[in-house]
Amino acid sequence: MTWHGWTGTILRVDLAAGKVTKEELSRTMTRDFIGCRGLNTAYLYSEVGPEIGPFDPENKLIFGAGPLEGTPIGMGRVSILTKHPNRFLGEGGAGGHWAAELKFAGYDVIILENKAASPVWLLIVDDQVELLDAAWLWGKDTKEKHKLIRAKTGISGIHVASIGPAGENLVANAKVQFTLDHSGGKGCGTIMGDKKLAAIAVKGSGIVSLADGTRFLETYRKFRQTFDLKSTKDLFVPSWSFNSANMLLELFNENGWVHAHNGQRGFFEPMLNDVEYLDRYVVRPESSFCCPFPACGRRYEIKEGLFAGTGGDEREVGFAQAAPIVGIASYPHVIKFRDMCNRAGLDEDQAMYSIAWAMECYERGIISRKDTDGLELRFGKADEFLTMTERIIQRKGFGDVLAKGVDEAARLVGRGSERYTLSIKGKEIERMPQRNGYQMALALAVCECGPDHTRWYPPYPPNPKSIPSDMELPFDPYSAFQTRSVEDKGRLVKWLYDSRAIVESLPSCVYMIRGLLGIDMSLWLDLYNSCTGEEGDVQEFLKIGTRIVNLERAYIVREGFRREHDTLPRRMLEDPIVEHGIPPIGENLSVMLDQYYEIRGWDQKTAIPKEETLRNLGLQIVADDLKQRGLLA
Amino acid sequence: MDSDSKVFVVSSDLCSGCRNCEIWCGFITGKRRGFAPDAGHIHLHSDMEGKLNIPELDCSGICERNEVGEPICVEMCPTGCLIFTNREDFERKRTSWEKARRVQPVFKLIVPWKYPYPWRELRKEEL
Repeated sequence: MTWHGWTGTILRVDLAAGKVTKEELSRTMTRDFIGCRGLNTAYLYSEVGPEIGPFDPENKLIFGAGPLEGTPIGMGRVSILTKHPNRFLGEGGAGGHWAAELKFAGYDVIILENKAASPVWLLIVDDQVELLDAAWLWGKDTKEKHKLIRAKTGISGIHVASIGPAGENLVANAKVQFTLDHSGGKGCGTIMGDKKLAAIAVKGSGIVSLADGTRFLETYRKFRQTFDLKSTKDLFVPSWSFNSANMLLELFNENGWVHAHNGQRGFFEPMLNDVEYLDRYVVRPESSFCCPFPACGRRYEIKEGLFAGTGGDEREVGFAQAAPIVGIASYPHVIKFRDMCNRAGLDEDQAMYSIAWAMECYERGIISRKDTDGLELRFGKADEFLTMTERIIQRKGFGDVLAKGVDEAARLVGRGSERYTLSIKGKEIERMPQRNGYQMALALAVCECGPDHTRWYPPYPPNPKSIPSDMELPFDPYSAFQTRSVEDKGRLVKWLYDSRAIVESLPSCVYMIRGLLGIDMSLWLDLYNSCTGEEGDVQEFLKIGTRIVNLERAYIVREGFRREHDTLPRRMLEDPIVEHGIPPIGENLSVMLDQYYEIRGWDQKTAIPKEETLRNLGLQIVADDLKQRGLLA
Repeated sequence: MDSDSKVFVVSSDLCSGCRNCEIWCGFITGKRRGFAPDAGHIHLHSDMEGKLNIPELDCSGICERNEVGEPICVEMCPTGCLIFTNREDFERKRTSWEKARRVQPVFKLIVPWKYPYPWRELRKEEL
């Protein structure tokens, strides 16, 4: 069988036995779930049931690249999936070049099974796949691991996915770190550490074949026009072209989009300055594979003074957006923090929000110096913040408590500290506004893998003038994007989830969704069809997205997640943003949840997909499975 | 357009290492069958630490052109660091960039001949 787009080969690696087998990809599965995130979910659903615990050897770790990976649409996106330590879907995407190399080497998916007895690493160079001893790599930080692997293999263009000390020490939400500071998969690094897999290094020299190259090129040129500064109709294209989210700092502050002091305030002063950052620290652009933005990623470096020599590569997320959470206004400290997290493979949001929670508890007198091993954990204490981060990585003293995740830490500390955690489904939130963006609040609450913004990004509309008047939309663009009304939010969030599920399964980067690309799927379909030779229409294509989201929901339902887990931190539900006069969300959340479950065809009381919904999407097997477990009437 | 007098020039301090040039060159050279890193005449050298990217071109500049006369590698380059032009024009552009950089730090990341001016030369019908 000839494959276009997909390579048609899966690698299955048994870490305990050291055995590598190659399997053929199934055509029906790629039709139903495309690849990457969708296909990974299908594998995890069928192979890791609710009887398997996250730290059991039977839990699997899946790295997936989709059909358009290796083409310039793919942007090097990889989707990593496992059962998260909190039992929901531990899914995360990362950019870079790793996934493209995997496709060039000739593989679509890697499924890792069992646990190795001693540390191992996986080397993939085209047909040659070896599981090797990694005693010499274990304990090193991620950047050292990459350097050592480059030196050992002698291949300069080799790309590495690895875990750092945080993953090795089983910190709750450790991430997988790729070459050039790309990272992703909160919780996947923990499972990778549990499986004693230090790194996966990939280099490929094959071809990703296209069904119709000429048509693909024509469609790609149309795609690139969206990012053309001369003709773009999207407000965010210039900012993402030059300085990404950093450019929007003042906007964040004005609108109360920052979670200053653990979300107690929506305004932070003195806010870090993006021009200072660009002027003093940015060195040059540094991109993911075939990214059409010139400088969405940047190399930064501290040239002199405190922490001189520290540097790295930065993408999409503004540093300065994060600093107010712990009350810091110093670039060197934030850059150092980021470097520590990248080297250790520690999730920045976990570190940031759990330390911010501890700081709030300290200021409220719930914990004292005795609990924090003598550290004065107050907002704005930058050095203490870095010391605490190091202790989380090493799991020393109070750091060991925070390393378990903020919810578990609050449970251990008790004394009413649970009130101040900013987490959803037991995972720390990301820096996304909620009280002043109800579409984001709903989208975060219903997310199947803890709070994850890439599943529904971007949550703002394209320029209304650019929407053709005859275009039919599943929501009303004027009312749906109103940030503080519940109107039409269910339909909007369903659309965001379904369409982004497709984009992440092709895969492509959700930050590419600019202009009309977010509300009109026909260009994505054209790219998909011309690459793979499939001939489905837009309706069929959108159904794939709905199917993926329903399968993900069925997975977490099987693990015991219900409507009561689709909620927001109490701070967002009960506390206002005082400076901006923004009220808490309160009962609005449950109104929006009702809308969302209804439009999805899920039971409103339990959030379990109805049998009819699953059957219409061709998921009869899933419906039967849920029925057998007594979850469906 | 006389291609003999034109040369490829790379401002490597602006190369983001995205590999668009490498991949698209392979696409055209490989008769549009697919994307392969080694199929084309361009190979990107990177130190893999984000400090240095240099595309190496082994090319005479003779391949198919788009409607404004650019080779595909230049058309697809997002930062504008790869240009196909004659020497005088390049020197003029490079000087304007050096000047712009002194005034506005954003020109560490992008080039003035691509941003914010019209990012390519106007087509005949647009003039």
